[in-house]
Amino acid sequence: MAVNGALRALSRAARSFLLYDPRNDAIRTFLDEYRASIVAALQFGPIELEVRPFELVLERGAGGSEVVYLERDRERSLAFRLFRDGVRRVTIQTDVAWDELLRLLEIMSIRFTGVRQQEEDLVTLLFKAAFRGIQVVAVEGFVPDEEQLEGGEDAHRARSDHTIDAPRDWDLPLPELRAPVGYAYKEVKPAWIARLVGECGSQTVADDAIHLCALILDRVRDSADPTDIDVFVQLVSEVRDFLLADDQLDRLVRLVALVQEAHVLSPSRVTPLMLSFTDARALRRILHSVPPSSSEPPASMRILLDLVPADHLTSLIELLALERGQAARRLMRQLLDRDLVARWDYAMERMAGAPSEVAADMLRAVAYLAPERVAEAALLLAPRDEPDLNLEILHSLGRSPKGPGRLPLLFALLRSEWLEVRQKAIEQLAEIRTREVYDRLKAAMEKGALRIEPREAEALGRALAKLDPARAVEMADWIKPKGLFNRVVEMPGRQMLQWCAVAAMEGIPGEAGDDIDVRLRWLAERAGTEMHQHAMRAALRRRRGGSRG
Amino acid sequence: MADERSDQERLGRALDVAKAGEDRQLSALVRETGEQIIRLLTGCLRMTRTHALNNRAFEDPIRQMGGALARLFDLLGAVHLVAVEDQVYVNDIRVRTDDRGDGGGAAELVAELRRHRVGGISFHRPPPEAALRVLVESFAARPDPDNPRRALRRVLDQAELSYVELFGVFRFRVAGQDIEELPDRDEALVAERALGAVDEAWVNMGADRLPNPLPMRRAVTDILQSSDDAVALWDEPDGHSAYSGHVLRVTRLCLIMGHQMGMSEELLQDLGVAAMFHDIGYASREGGQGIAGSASTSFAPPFERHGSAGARLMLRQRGFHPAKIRRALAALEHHKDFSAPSGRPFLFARIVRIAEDYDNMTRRGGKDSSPAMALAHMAAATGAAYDPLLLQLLINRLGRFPPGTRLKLVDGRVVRVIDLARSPDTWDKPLCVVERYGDNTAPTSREIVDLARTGKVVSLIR
Repeated sequence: MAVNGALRALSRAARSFLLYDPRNDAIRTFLDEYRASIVAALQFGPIELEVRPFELVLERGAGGSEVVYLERDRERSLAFRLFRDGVRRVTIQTDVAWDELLRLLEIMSIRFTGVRQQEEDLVTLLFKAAFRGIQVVAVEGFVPDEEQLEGGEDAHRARSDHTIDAPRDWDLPLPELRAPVGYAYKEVKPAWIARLVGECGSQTVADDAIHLCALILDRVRDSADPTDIDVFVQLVSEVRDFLLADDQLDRLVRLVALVQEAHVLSPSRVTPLMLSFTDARALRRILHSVPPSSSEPPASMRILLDLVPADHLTSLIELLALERGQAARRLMRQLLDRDLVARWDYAMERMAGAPSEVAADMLRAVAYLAPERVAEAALLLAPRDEPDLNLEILHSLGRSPKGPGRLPLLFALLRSEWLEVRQKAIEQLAEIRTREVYDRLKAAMEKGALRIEPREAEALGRALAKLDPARAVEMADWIKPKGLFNRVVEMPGRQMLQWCAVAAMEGIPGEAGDDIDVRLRWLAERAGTEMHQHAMRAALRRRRGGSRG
Repeated sequence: MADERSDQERLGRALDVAKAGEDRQLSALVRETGEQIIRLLTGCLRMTRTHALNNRAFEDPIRQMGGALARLFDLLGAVHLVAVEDQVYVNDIRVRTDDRGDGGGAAELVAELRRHRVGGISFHRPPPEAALRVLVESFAARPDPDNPRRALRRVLDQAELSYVELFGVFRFRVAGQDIEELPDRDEALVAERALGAVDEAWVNMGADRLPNPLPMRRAVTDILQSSDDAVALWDEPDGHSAYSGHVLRVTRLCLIMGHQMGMSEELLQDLGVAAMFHDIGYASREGGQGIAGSASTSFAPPFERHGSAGARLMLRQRGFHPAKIRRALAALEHHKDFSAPSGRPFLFARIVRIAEDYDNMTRRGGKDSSPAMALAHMAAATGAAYDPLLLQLLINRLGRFPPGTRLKLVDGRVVRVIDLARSPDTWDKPLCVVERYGDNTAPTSREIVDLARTGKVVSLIR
């Protein structure tokens, strides 16, 4: 049971990479399950498995054997994959290190999920891993039986009759033989050997690959050599994908420089290759490789964009629509600096039609790169009246220099359907201390008294008091209108007008018993609970020097 | 927690690199396109029952099939269709087709292929439309009653479709039936399989098929698991070409140097595969000429371009892999001098160069072709043609008298060295087998002489 669970967990974990990105949290769950189940299984002793086409059989020594895994679906079956590649026995020792179990999972995952699989199979991968805690026995040169061999065949495949012989003069002429000299046994120092070995390994793969690209390009240039540009293009595409997967940005830049050299040989073939280095997929990969804590894009990335003559603005805008990560989006906004201002009209056209998150990001980029033009850009977006976008407009506007376009924009946002947007617009308007603003805000309150909610009324009140306290005092009449008739007859919207006025008075310092205080108390005595509290609070704060507004 | 995250990160990175260029959509795309090909192929085969192949009704499906194969080829390189039971797999991805009333399902294709005893087809390049018509016609035809697949193979070859490979119907025995006994490791069989893999690679390259390094890698793995077989270093194996014999000896010599360097299993495997492919360029059909006065009649490239041809052949394999890069570099630079002005050759290339020249010098026969003399000539070029450290490592392991060297002992016996150097102390005192006694008679049974214990060398037979 335990072994069955462990094997299924291994199979599930290996196949999970078909569905999820390796860094997805779901993978974590599969890994935890794999680890827990295999630890549990190993408590009963080493796991010795015989591999059959669709089954794994647990060897129990004198206790016989037991089928612990069965899966007949070739695409899903762990057993089938092992058997087909020639593995016949697998033994996992009780003291196997977790690192080796993880590597075993890596190997199985590659075989389950990789599509291009001509290079290695499970046997070669398992032997390469050189496990200490896992032993593998494989059949040499395994080829499955044929149902019926055809007469005269000496292999399982029908060979072509069109074979050619190696030329008899292959590898000739020999190098010129020098006069023979004596030779002797000499110890080769370990440090020298280490230097030799260090020339070739996982740390040099990228450089070796680029070197190969350069050599192939030399062959393409050689008119006597039939190597054509397609070989170069295909190779560079693969090396590019490797460098992107391995987060080797600096080497990607070197590779692009090589591609530039090739461009003159065949612009039609090389140009698409060049552009692929900074398309949306490549950019996304590069951005994901930058540590989240980085505040700006790496210098190599800017060099890469400089080298590739592509429409990066469009790629970045498209990527903004796809990318969810905040860190990557922050970097993309900075990268927009290359073209945003230089291609202003195009950028604004794209921004106006973009989804709200993308438009918001672009506006943020404008605020960062050309703050004096924020209002100009925001005016294109305000009519859409999307709440997140409008809030972004207000945020960007608040941080940009005060220019002529600001006021009309704020009043436009005052007409937004969204309360939060209107509130923030009011707050920003309160900073612009002109008669016009005061008059318009007051008029807005009067006209909208019937529909305005308390929060907005409050915001307006505070704003008016901040803009012009002397004039705002007049609003005390809204609290306690002059004349009995006006006090008795309920004026439409009077409640909100009162609410607004109370908020305004809060910002005007005074003393107990002064006219405003009397009016506030009068209202408090007659109003419902909420208004009572609102008025009493205002009265109290006035005596303390007025609210901070 | 931090360890667990780093485990996941490491695993993620390893998978990203191993599958560089493959995204999760790739397998879906392969499945979709595979389904399309199956439907079109079965549809065309069905239509042949009622229409002649030159009927316009075939134009569209043939064109679409060609397009689909071309798309898959771009993504994957070789396209492998495997038909088994009632399923069809395209490069290990199961193609899902329903057997609807209009047909075109996997089961139908399996049945069609089975008539010719074909269980799988590999396309090593996308066939043009005319070739696809031939393929459809061939499969639609009545199969040969005795050797249907062989007959089909001939038809395809005559139509110059050697790059379309056919496979038999494989079966995997299910549980409960006999499972083969694991054979003991047999050095002769290991060598035989390796030679077979080299010969097969040669045939495939010559037939315009894509390189398949996996059988080579398996052969190298087998060699690495075996003990050092010194006899194989000079042996000309029966039943195989001189080319494959040369390649296998070069491979063994390379692995000797690799072992001496303490290379990892991974690098040894890659080195071995690179060695096995190092001269594959001669299988390329470039239309070149041999050296003046040679009897060569092949289309092989000339000596100075066979490295480039080999790299080109190997780069036809799709997908990035460090091993592919290494063997392409080895092929390109394996005749470049160590001290070349344009820069030092790649490490694998330097190793192959030494192994290759050593074997070429010894196999050419004639004066000074003794293994010991080959080393002596090479030692004269150390630092110029050959990496001095690598050459020294090989010298240390081959011994003063490398395997295959014939010696005359002071008592008149002629012996041949059969072993590598066992230690620095016995570096010049190898194990030998007696070939002739002083009176020129041959021993009646195998007689071994350990020069570390007895016997003294008086001369080297050059």
